[in-house]
Amino acid sequence: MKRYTMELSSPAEKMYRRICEHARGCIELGDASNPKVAVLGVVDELIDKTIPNNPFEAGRELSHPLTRVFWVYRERLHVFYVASPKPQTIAILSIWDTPKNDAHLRQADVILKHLVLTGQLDHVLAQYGLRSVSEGIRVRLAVVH
Amino acid sequence: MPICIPNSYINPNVRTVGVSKLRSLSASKLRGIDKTLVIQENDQPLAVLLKYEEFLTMQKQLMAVLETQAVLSDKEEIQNIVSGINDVKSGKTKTIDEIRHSIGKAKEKT
Repeated sequence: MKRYTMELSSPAEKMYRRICEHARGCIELGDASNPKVAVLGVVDELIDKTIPNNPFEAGRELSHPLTRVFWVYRERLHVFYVASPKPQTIAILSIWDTPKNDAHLRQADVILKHLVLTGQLDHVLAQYGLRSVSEGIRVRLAVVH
Repeated sequence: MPICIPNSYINPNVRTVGVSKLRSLSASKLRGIDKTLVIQENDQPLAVLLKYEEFLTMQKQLMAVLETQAVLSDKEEIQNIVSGINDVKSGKTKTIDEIRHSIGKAKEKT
């Protein structure tokens, strides 16, 4: 694996600092298992391992008009980067933490459809202390899908 | 509007075959397939058989388009990316080690 120097632009740095602060806050409160701590682990792994390992692989490049911008993602975190003009250097443009991605929405849609059609929705709702969905709504949802 | 199925007349890499062709396909024949097969019955296309590598390429291209669309539809994110590109052009970037050092997050190099 080639050694790359990883650099961050100001928006990426701002986001990285925010993620670090959230994780540190949780750790100081003794809540090391908080998802915010896990998010920091994911970002560090993307920056230290995933991106430097074949960063400009075909399939990691965005489409027009964002060609030459590459991206990797893990769960909700998306990291966008480019080849820096400096030798052997990758510049991270932005770290995006979003559940609003199309793929995630579709995944949620697929999961909901599966729960409805297999009759597991009521059981899942009950686990969270929520009231069961009525039969009528369930039928309508099944028809929609 | 009718769906246009790419066929051998339009794309020489696509070949239209009958369902019976499936029965004659073994693993070795599948490895040697150099065209995308549109499988049809009574002139109705039913399925498409293509090399796994080509399927992966299509999936990656689709993901890239969806990701680009997601970024372009988020004003804040596109601003971040543009601002990031400007930082790179003007050399206003910091190494990850510098940033970690400044926030006291000493990270051992792997």
